[in-house]
Amino acid sequence: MTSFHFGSRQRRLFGYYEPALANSSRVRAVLLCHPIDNEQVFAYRTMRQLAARLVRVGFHVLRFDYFGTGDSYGDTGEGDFASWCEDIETAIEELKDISGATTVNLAGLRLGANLSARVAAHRPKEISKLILWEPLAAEELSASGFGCPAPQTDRNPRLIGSDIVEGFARGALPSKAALLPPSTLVLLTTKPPSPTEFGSLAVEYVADASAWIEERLDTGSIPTGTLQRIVDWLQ
Amino acid sequence: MTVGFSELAVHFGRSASLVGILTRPSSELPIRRPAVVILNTGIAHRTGHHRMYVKMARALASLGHLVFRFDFSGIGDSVSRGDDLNPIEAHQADLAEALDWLATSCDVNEAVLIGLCAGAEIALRYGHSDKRVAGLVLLDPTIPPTARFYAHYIGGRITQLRSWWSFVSGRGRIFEELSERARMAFGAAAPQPVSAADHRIRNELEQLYLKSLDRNLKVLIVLTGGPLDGRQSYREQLFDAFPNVPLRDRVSLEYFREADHTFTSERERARLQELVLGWITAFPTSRDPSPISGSDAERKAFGERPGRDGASL
Repeated sequence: MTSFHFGSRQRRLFGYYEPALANSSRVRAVLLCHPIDNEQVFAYRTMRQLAARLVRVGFHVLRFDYFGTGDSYGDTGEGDFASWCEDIETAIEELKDISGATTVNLAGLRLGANLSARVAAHRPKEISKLILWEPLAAEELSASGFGCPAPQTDRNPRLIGSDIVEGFARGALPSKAALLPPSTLVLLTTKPPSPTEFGSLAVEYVADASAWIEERLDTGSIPTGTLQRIVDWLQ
Repeated sequence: MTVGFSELAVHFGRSASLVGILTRPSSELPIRRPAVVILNTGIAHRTGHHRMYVKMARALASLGHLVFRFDFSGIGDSVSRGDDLNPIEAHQADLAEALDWLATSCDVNEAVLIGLCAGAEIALRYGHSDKRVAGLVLLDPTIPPTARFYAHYIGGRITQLRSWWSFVSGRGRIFEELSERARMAFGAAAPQPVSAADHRIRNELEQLYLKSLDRNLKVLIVLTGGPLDGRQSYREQLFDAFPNVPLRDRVSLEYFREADHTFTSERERARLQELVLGWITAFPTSRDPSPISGSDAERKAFGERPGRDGASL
């Protein structure tokens, strides 16, 4: 495993790469796309566990932080949706370069799901499979701070009004289905979707812990059922 | 990109299983003592809540300090140790390995530990035992309840209907605590005294503070007074809780009345950062203060870099 910085000199990103531990007839790779803010902090253990499970069955895995988040360079207020999508594209190239894969799978959690969907729609030939785990609704995307009152965050105000709010929020995903990879799965863990909510997109509900929320009673618990479903579906 | 720092991802420790981020001053800045080591808050990884530690580390590095944020074994990206140490022992061993790495790679022999909540307790447990530790910044460390705390706590809860219902129905912490104290006061036998654990923790913490002061560690303690959640409720609770320790004269104490436990408010985080930066830059260094240049330090620390801008395991 390797922790490192990558990307341009102006936009250094932190990444954590784990090579496949199991042999596979072809090179398979997964890029994990985090949520942001404290959702990223709370979900970090879960994403690490997901990576560990994926490498055990033969995937090369890269986790990374968007610019202005986590351990990547940049102040917290410097990030915005469009540039974070560019970060995902940079990470895809990095993962392909390290692993030798020609295509990659994307798995995004919360905001990471919305961003992954947008990138996948722009690079359909390079994305084998796409998992959208609990993508954010438009009203959540528009909020200036997830879980925090606006005055208590140093979030970039430019986030509000981004085209991603309109285009790749949870409610808009069915209209984008044709742009997404044929193998796209929407995965929900908090409550089942309404029957028509995601149109032709495949959607599954797994009742499980919300990895991105810190609850006193289950802090640090890992949604193992969800992780196993992701691993099984990607294989 | 014009920044006053650079960062390096590091694998270190007994089997290179621990992961940390070293934040270094830019090469034109002289390196100032002390170095700073920032510890995990509970199970949150090394960035801290609201990315608080990333921002603090970069601000300190821009002033000339080396800063190391790392994950204890089993937290964040660090792998569990796989030995038979209990969690407290494992944290102490991890911290020793972090300071060993800083000493051998960066020539650091004087460091301040910063920790919040559980991180503060780990810093307090470890600091007195290692001569390389020169100071502690303890953010919301555990402080045992006092009589005045109970008065504040009850006063704050008394208007809440739910608390009344819990009290009347015999549930809740306050009911249990008051019942226990009543039993003790009237000499009734308490088969499982609630206060036994409190006494043990209080005594243990008292000893740790005494050892820290005996070693002449510089100590900054920051307490938050946000929403009532059973921690401290007033500034002097620290002194009242440990009457046998001369903390009043020997530590710097700040009380952030409006801040919650993880400093959710950006304004309170900014206040905290300003306080910590001021305290560390004013830190009295006991050793040769002659600075070493950033580039010299880098050469000593890293020699040949790996092909990628990081470290491999």
